[in-house]
Amino acid sequence: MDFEYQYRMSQCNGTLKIETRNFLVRDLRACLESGEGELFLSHIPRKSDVNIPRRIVELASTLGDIYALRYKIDFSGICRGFAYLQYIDASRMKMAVKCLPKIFKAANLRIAVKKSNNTRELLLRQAQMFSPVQMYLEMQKVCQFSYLRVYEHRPREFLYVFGYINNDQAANAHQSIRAVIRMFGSHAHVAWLHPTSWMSEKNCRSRCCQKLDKNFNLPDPSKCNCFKF
Amino acid sequence: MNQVIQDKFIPQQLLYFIAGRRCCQQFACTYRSAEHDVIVNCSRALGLRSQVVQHNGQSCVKVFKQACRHYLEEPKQLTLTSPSLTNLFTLMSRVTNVAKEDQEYAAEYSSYRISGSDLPQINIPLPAIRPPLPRFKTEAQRNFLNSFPGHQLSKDILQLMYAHRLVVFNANLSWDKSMFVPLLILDDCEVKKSNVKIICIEKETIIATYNSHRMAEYFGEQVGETVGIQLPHSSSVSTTTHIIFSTAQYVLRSLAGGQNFQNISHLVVNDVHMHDPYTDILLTELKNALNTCPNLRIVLLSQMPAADKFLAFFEEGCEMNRTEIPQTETRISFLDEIHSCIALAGIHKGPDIYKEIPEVFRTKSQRNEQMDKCLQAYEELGTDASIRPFLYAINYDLVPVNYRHSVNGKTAVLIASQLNNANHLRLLLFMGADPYIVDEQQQNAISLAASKGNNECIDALNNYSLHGYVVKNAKPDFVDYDLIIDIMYLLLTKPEFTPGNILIIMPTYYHIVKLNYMLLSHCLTGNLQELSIFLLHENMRKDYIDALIKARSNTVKVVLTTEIIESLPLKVPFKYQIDSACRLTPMYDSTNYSIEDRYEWVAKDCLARRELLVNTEAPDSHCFRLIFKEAYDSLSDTSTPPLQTMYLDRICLLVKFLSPHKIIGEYLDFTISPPPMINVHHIVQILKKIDVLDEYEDVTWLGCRLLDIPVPCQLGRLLVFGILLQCLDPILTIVSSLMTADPLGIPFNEDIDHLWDRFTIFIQNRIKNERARLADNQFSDHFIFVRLFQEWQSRLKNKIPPLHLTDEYDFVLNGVMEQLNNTRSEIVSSLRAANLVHSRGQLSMQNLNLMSSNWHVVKAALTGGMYPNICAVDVGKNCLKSVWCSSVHLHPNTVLRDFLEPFNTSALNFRSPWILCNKQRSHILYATVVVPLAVALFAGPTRLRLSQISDTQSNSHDRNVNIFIDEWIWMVMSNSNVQLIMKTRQSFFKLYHDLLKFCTDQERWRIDSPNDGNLALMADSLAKVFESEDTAVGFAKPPPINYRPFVKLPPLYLLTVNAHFSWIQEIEDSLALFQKPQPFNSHFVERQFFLLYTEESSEDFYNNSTSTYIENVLGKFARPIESPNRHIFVILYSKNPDVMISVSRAKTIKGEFTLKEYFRNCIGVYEILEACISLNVNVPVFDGRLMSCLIDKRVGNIIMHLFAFRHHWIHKR
Repeated sequence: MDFEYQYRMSQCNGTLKIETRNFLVRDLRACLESGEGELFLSHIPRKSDVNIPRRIVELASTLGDIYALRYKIDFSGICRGFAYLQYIDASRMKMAVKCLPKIFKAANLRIAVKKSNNTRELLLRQAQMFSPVQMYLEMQKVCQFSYLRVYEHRPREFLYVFGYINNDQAANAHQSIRAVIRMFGSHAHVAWLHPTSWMSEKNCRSRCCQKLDKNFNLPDPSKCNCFKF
Repeated sequence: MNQVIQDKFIPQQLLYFIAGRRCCQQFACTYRSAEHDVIVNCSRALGLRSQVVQHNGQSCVKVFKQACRHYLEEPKQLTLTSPSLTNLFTLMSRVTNVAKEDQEYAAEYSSYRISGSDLPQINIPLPAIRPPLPRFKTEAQRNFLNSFPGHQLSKDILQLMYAHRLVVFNANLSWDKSMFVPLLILDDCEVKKSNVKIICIEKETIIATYNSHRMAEYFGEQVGETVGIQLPHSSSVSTTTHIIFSTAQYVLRSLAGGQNFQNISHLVVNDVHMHDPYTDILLTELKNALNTCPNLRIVLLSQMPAADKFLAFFEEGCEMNRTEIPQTETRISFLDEIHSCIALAGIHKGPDIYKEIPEVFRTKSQRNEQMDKCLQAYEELGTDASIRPFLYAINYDLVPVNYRHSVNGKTAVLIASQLNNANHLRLLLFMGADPYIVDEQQQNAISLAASKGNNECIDALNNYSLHGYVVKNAKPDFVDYDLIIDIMYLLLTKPEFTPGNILIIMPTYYHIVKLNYMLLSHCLTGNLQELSIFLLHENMRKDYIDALIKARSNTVKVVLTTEIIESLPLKVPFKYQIDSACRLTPMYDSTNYSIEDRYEWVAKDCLARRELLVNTEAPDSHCFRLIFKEAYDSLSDTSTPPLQTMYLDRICLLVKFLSPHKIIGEYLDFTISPPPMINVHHIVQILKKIDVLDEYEDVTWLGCRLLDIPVPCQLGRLLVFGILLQCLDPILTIVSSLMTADPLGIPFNEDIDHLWDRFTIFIQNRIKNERARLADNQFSDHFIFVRLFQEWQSRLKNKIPPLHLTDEYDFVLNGVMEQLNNTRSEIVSSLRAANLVHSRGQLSMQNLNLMSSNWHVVKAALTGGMYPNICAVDVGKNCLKSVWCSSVHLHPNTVLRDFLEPFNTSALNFRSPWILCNKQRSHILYATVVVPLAVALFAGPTRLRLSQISDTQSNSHDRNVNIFIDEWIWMVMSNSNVQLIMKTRQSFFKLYHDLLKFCTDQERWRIDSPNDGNLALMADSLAKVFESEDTAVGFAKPPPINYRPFVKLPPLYLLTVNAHFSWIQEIEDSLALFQKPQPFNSHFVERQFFLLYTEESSEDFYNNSTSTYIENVLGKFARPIESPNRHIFVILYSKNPDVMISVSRAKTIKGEFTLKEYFRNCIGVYEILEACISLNVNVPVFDGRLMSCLIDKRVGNIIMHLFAFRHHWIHKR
């Protein structure tokens, strides 16, 4: 079938994106957008060849319909060596991790495939200029995020974890935060939060952790009082 | 035959040479050595000088006229200190590949011809062309389309486009053609289901961004879907994209990289009438493309009716002209009328503080004494010769023509009229002297002339009062800020001018920033009605435009802009326009090989277009042009295309890539506005000299890398040397400083506003001292750039600039630094894109800055990068020798000389005869003294031939050797040193070639890469060498310039400041005003001032004071009297010393009493008392007994004014 008919290719700065043109129901799309079943392809030849991403999609689509490929390039269009691949059917992931390297190898492309970490959280440290609520409001002006977790690791010293929909969004946010980082003080520092970190989404199981309502009030102040505004 | 040659031919040739324009000539090497002697003898007899030089291994004779600046009377000595020798030897023993033969080395680099395919690709090829999917139009979209003035003509336009491949469409800016035409084409193709991909080409990056966002908004999408964008460092295109915005420069760059016009159906080129150089080159490419792509359709959009030029150039196509001159009601005032209008209106500008400042204490400098002597001598002698020193000081030393004698207050023009010398009087008046200035006896030039009764003098003065020969604004060089402020007062305070938005067009960004401060200070002191100020310029971020568009419609908007406004379709109606009518044009002057930034009046057509920016439907729209009617009448109708006057370095380089098999001059000759051949010839020669082109006019690897770096080629070369010597950071600062305005430039009298122009000499001296302080005896103006930037950065302590105002200099500095930062980060990204900076390995940012804190190395890098801009001091002849045959002078701006200091005095201090320079015309604006070794190592061609070295005397025992680095740099050194230097040069330039050729190969530059760890080794050893050389020559130890990792500051300082002080915010804050929609007029506002005593500094006070504290000391007193029409101000006061440190506005926001700081400075109480006395206001007592107290409104107002109109250089202690 015509590649162009099936896929939509776009370039936005350092990302080449090949996306399906299929219509997806809203829930499925949202699920895929949040990085469900994402694969991480590495060891891609560092060449400036537009046909490689196309070829990857063509080969990978033998296992099932592709949702999207995000292929990273540098300023001069040379591949940075890695890419992200997603199937529409997220359950294909396991099979793909096994089979895809072989398929690639047969086509003379030695590309490694593994499950993507889907790192989508950023950690902001040493931002002493603002209180957590101010920080929440300020950061919404910089870049939209899906949630903010605040840890008070020492009295009046906070660690902020910003969560984004997916890795792509987080990467954009990382860039825009770095551009305005001085707003948060002279030592403020933003970094990726690795999913294995104790602060990350998965390991976040605090008993007294509470979610604030829209007016920044504690829903149940009696439950815990370790965090004051 | 021999006899004839020797007796007749040679003398004849020499006579021809004497009669010709050239200052020196090399006689061909075909002469035999016997004939060399004849040439030498003969030229000596004719009073010429001669020298035997080596050229391509053969000796030939060069003959110089006496005035030739290429002839060094004797070679400059080069000796090396023993630590340097040791270090160089160690370096040589460690560097590999030294043994490689010269021949082999040459072969490796010269056999390959570089073409476009060697350039890094900048974007992926465009996706295949396809028809657009038909889409349903919403009501809003239909309305939007219908709102275009050209909507009725859609059918005609499309018909023309089907009939012709080229359509020139002329219409005013308000037609918004760059949106309308692409949408029209896309619509048509949707209906016809034909393939379409439209490239829209704009002049500036920011316009392309702005238009693409507007169009994406129309489709209700993000950029990157139907509408794409392709710009350096920002591109977003997909397979469904049908309209792509870009700039001419970028399109040409991708054409140079080997892309062609495939997959494009339409090209829409905007603003062709402006003849932007890149657009002009693009038109040539398009003309060629029409031959190969028969289906390409080109639409040229212009705002000027004369389209014949384009049709004639393309030899086909048709024109659609809609530039009928509208019947405008706009009133246009020229300068004469503006002056009388202001004089009649009687503007009140608040109290005249600072008027009574005694001048005496400001006028005791050495320069004043010298000038006084000049005037005295003139008064006593009165001859032509006696006025000459004074005229010299005006012309070359920036002394104001109205200089007043520090004792008797006489000006030169007054003395001339006293002496009855009409010629001098006329001359001085022509130079801009003001005859109305009075001396101590209350006499002025006119009254004196009348009393003497000399008719000629009286006539000259009468003539002056009628025409005013040269007043400040009769020249395009200076913008009269005072007049603009006066007009603003006229527009905003006089009832006959109804409120409306004001557009102010200024020549450059620097002017905008300066005016911005003046407007702010007049606003904040309450003299002017509060307004919102917006800025537009070429290098702004999109946020600046967004802020203007999103601003509330019921505010008075004042937009300060450069000429970019002519191509920026804004939906903001302007009622008034103040047009400075001048612009800055970079010029290349082929007669003395110089670049000059010249201010010129804009052409008539340009003024006419600007006039149309004013909303013609508004009843009494008014256009103020700061140009005399007579000057306007003599302007040309159209402006000269920049291609014909500019410095063509980047253009030549680009052209070479576009058409590698053509000679550059030939290509440019066939463009729509061909530049003069002599300019092209000169530039090509310069490019050859700096190794951007090789001797056969092919591009070198350096040229290949420079194409992607958006700086002039010379500065690009400087960056490469910065990379090679691992001191990129200071070099980046220097390069970006050279590209932006200099905040520490010594101002002319005309640059200083009327409040302070009496103190011109004082201010100039202060700035000169500041420059000397920053230069710290390093004899370098480039060092000042680095220090200034670092001091500014460390003052901020890594924060964004604070929002309160201090004084004009501080504000302008912040504004200029914002721009500088912007340029810096743009250069860094382009270096990354050109692969000269990698993210890791030897070429990572950290590694390239290992030597950044070492000024010795930076100087060495400057030498290499700035070559051939090198001068040599000739003490004997008392002048500077350089590659330019015309003479060059040190501008008073440089730290190398003091005001009024003769050259031989300043030259005594230089530690070395070699000076690097940046010049404007024949003035050296910025200079750095460097050691001879740096010149010997880095100047000249990348490959020195052995033939450029010759023994001084072949039979003598002292083995001293001459080395001719280029056609005039001539040094003598010992034989062993020469060999060492040649070896070092060879290995350095090998590294240079390696870097430029292989920088795309990241593997090669890994830290652990086995082949070359030489980069760090080379830089490290050279650092030691230059350090010992500098010390040996006698340079003082430079103050530390600490390299700190590059901090990216948000480039929105000016936007934030203006938003902070605009009254939009104030409305949001106070609900009472919300309910009253009528325009708010601050003239009904009453101001109350509180004095608050504090022991802390302002910084600490604002950081530490809590709201309860403020409430306690102020809130409870101030709150009852606060109302929307009564503003409360708080003046911070501190004791020992008694000073006022800050003024802020207090306001109740959400029930909490808060302070918003307006000004911060340090003003002694005695100054306030003096001001009060001079303005007859009751003198207050500031004893600090009370924590806070209410003070007299008038005193408060005076303090506020003292803060707002303070002058940095006069008041800084």
